[in-house]
Amino acid sequence: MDASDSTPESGAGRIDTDSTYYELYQKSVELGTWDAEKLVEKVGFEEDREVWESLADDEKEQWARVISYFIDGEHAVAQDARRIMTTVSTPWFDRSIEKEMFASALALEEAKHTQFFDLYLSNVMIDKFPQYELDTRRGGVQIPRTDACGAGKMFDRQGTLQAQAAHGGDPVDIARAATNYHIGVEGILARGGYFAKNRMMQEAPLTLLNKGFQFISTDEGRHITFGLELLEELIEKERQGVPEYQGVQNAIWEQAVEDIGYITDTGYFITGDIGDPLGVDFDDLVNRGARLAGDMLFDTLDIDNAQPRDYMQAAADAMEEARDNDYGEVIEKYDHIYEQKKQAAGD
Amino acid sequence: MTKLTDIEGTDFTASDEEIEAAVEDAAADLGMAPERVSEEVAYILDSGSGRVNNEGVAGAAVGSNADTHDDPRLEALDVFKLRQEL
Repeated sequence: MDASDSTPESGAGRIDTDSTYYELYQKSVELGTWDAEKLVEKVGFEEDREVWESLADDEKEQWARVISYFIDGEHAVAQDARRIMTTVSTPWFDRSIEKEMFASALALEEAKHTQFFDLYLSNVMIDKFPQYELDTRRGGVQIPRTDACGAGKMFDRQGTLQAQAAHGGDPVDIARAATNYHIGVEGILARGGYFAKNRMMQEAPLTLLNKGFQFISTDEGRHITFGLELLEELIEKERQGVPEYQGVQNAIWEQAVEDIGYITDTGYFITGDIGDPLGVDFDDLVNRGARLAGDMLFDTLDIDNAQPRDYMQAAADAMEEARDNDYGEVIEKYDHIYEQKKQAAGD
Repeated sequence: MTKLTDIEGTDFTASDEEIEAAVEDAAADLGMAPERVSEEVAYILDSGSGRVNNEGVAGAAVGSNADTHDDPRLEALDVFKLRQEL
């Protein structure tokens, strides 16, 4: 029998089944409960290992730079998900159970994304990650490549903003945290990464990695919709004149402008800095990021008094700075720090 | 929720008839109603927004999946079928 025949027609009691947040939660149950271990068993590592071994060192390095920021990023957001659950259960959001339900699904999904990249990196790409196994919570640091680029700084910032929002933060703090996480990290940095991997897959088709990315980007799409819904709620209250919500749009804009610098730096780090052997094209990546940002900030949120020119200038400044950066020197510094921590952990 | 053949925001290579036939085949294989499959596949692409915004799936055919002919809707249908096995 088709399960949809018994779909309930009306609400389920105290849960508002007409809520967008409920719909997002339900889609997480239907689409987000894929099993990372089963995916790995089903597709297997063999084909990816063969392609990986055929790549030149600079091509492996380009993949390693992309995957570094994905695994450290997924790990960071998995850790911060508990703070999002706290934030959306505050009176600023009317203590809605539907938001909490979705946030709990988000927490599981981010943990699963970390699990997938952990499995993949450990079984296919480990030759490019001699410094990987120390958990950041157990005395480790982010992967030196992540620390060398804007993504590492963005994840550090994310932790601070999410903590401020969850622990007594007001709507302005929440707006900053949600902008950084849902627009900056998930909406532009991660989606830019998907754009890059699509191009890189043409030269280096890593089938299992591509499948994992497809499931992950599907989950992240719901997270972004969730974040934009939260921000729209805050903006609406600001526009209604509720005193505690004044300054929300300004905070969103300031955070978006701050984050585009980190994102642009990361874009250059994974492309131009290493000669872009797998053909992503830094300019195309920047243009795609600008389009994504425009869709969210101007079309969806319709932020008042936001000047696209300021945003593009911040990106251009970051681009200029990135071209002068010596990322290799920073990676070496963090390699050294990592080795010290590893030795200390072994004592 | 958006109907799969009404979704916007990117270029498509398959006709609506081809999409509907592929959805019906998949629904028969999975033992599900075609409408339900269509809804889930649309949600993979648009996360409820009505516009294709799933960069990871919409641009993911990359010439490596000949079965989907680079149409994001067919690629998303493939993702959904695999998801049902996991």
